[in-house]
Amino acid sequence: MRGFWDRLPFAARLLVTASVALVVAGAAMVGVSARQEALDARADLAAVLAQELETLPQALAETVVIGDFSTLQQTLDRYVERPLIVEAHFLDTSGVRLSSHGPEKGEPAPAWFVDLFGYAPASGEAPVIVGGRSYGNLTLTLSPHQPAARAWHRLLDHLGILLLAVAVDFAGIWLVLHFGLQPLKRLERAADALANGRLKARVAPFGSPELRHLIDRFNRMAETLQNTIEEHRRVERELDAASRAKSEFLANMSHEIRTPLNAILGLMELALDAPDVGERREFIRKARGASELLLGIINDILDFSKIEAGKLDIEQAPFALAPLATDLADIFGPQAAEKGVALRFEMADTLPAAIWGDPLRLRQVLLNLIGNAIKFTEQGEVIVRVEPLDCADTGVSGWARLRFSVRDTGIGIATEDLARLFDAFTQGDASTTRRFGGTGLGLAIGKRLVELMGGQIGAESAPGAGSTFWFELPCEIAPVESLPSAPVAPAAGTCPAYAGKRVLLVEDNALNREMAQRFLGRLGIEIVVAINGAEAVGAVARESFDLVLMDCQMPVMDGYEATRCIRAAGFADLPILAMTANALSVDREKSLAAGMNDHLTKPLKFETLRETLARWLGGEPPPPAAAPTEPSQSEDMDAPRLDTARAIANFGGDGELYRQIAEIFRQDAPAQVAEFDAACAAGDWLTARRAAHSVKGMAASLGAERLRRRAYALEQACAAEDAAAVAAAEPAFRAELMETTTALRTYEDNIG
Amino acid sequence: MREKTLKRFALLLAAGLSLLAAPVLAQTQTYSFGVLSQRSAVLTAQYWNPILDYVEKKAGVRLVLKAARTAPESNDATERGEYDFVYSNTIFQPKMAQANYQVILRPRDEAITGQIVTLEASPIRSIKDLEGKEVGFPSQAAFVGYAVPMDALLRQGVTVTPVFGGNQEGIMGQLKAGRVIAAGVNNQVMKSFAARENVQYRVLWESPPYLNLPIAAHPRVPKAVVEAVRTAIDGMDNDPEGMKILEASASIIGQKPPLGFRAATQADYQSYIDFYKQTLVKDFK
Repeated sequence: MRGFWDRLPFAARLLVTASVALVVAGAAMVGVSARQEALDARADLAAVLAQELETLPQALAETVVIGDFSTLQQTLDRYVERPLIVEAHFLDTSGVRLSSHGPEKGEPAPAWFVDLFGYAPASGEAPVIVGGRSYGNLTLTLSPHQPAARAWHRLLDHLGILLLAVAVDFAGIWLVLHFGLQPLKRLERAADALANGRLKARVAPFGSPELRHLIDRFNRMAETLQNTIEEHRRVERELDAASRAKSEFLANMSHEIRTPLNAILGLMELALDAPDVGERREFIRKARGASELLLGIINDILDFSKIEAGKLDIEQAPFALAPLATDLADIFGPQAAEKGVALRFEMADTLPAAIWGDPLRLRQVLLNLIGNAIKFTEQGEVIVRVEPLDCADTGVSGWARLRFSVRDTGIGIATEDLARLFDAFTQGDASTTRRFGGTGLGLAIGKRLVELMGGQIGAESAPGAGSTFWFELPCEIAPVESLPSAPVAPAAGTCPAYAGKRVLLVEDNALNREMAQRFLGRLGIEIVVAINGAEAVGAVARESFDLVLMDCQMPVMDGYEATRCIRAAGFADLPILAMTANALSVDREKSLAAGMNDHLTKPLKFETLRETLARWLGGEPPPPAAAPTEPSQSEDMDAPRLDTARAIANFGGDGELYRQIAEIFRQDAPAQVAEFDAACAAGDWLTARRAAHSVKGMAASLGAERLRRRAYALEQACAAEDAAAVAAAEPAFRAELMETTTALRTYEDNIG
Repeated sequence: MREKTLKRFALLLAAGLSLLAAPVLAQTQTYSFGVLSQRSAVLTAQYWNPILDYVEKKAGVRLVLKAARTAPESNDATERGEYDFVYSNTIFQPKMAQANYQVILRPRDEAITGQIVTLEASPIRSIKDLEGKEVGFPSQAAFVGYAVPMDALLRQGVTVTPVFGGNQEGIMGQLKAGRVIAAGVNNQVMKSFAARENVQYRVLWESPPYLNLPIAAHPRVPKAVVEAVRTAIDGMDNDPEGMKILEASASIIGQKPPLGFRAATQADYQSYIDFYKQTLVKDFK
């Protein structure tokens, strides 16, 4: 039974239930009705009998009194022809019996029907009494046949109607269901369509309100489904694209990384094999350049990863804007000049003198933007503008929103590329990469840095109409007094007067020790070496030092521990500077917590070391002078011919840029020299001076220190209009120029 | 006068004796009591059955009422001498002589007359107006209802067409319905009918009085029985029970007092006998 019901479709269930209910109810009603009719018939019969027995004697009285039996018989005979009467008897007092039997009228009902419903004849008798005297007894029998037959036919009629009702009901329900459930079929088909991936499958609403609602909900669900799936697909595509871009980038980067690395290895091999010290030094120098290039690339990648991982911190230190501009001008000036592109810095008058921020990161962003501008501009100008947009109080305190913009008249950027400009791993187009090189991360890093600093970055451009890259930062104005006292300007090859200063160098690694010693030696500082923390503590106890350079990771005792011991021993005022490869601010705090005063990251930069030492050892660095009296500076051989790494580092690690500048130098330097010669011959000291100055600038950019000095000497001589001095400085200058050019070529060859 | 008193005394004596003997004599015997049809048999039975029951109780004589449908039928049965007792005034007709019914009781009420009546609203004023018209009569056997008025009409030379209604109340019914313009009737029966049926009528002609219907006995009935019956019926109006019955029966037909019967003889009805000798009406039955 359960199984049967389960297999029944909805329409059938309804039909079965309705029909069964109707039949049962109908049958019950018919049965009850028939029973009631039988009871009514019986009562009627009894009533009729009673009535007849009341009236008939009176009707017969006349004839009975007269004693006219024949008439009486006739009367009885006529009487039994009446509908219900079937028998009439009269029994006279003298015993005469008159009887009449009526015919059966009509089709009788089936015997079972009569029995079932209790249709029975009704009999009764009444005496005929006239004037108090009984003349006889009248007996009547009424037959139930007619009522029974009527009831029987009525029953048949009722059953017929019931049947009709069931049939009509059946048909009606079936029709309503059949058409009413159509929407379900459509829903079914639409659901199948959806399941098969036809996401646009919908159903037009029709039918009863409940089904309309269902269809409406279905459509909404389908809509949501479609949107979600399409969204997922889109995201998938984007992720795929990003993944592909990343893979591509990694493929590119591995090339970019491997190239300098190979060069380094190659140069090292050459250095090992080279018999000549000078050659060895050249190779090592070039290797250093390649290392710095590699460092720049790796810094870019690491920076980017750090930012993406949310682990890059923005420092908050007071710094001045003006020196930053000067610095940038120095870096890019020669480069721009070589390309024949004018580089201008427009710093608004209303700019605050000092602001809180991360000068390093700001510089990084500007380096990238300006570098790009120069890279992509063949002629015209690059204008760097810094201006406040609005400030609450430019004077002493408050916030200013500064807008930095770099506008160039370069090749411009197509509209479709503008959108992806700040995306990682993309450059203007593939051809851009080939022409201009680069990792493609510069702008991406720049954007993220700007955003980390709470600002916004953007670009406007049109092909052939140049570009404007801008970013805005909210900056808190810092009091001027908070600026560090030591000037920031990086001058190459300057030597402070640190005579007599003693520095304890604590470093376990020999190579790093070599580098530090080199740098410190250049600065004319007396060095004592310790190779671990324990030795350092002992040294401090034995001898007096002006400053300690403490490596952090060392065997036996590390730097933190050594510092704590030294502090505990009572040397609270002794400046201890930490040297560590970790660049995270966490380590900075760790150093400070241990009792160190400052923090230097490795690899050591000469400039950074110099600045830091200047801060902690005091004393202004002397102005750049090629004074031979300064022992560390007198040796030309010690001055670098080509410090490519540093130059590249100053370019934000953009080795490609360096190569381009080198290219420009190699093309432009001879021209400048020719101009110089012509000017000298013509007695045009101004032009000669300008030419010398130009070469000096380029040399500085390239990290060609010696050439820079020579050009500087020449420039000074021209400035003094001292022909003799010019003549004296010229040969050295020309020689150095040739050497530098050769060195550059060698570097480029090695780099590849 | 002396003779009558003597007769009466003898009768009373006989009645007293027979009264003693009646129960023994008449216990198992049933006698028929015929009634001239003047109204429906049912009314006749309703009137007479209680009286006959009383007689049975008092005299021990069971009398069975015989009512005919029409007066002619009653007269036919009377002529044949079918009834043992008969309540009729047609027994004085010549043809009834064979049966030889002898009067035993006469009604206490006044004599009856024959009348020719018409409805109050009728335009007929005198019997002369009836010339050539149809006039209703109970039946050809009716005495004061037919013979007497018809005789009057004939003597006055008014020719009418007789219409017969079966019995007294039958024709009265037709008069009431307007089927006949006038009718010959028994004045008492007419009065009773009119009172009962609420009919307004006018008497066009009235005959001299005749005594109302007597109760007579057939010669075959034993004297003792006759006497017993006569005594019982005679004494009804002296007996409260009998009086009640008389009154009940009277109310059925609208009969007015005095009620009941008095012993009588054939001599009391000589007038009837004489009429029949002289009447011009030849077709009474």
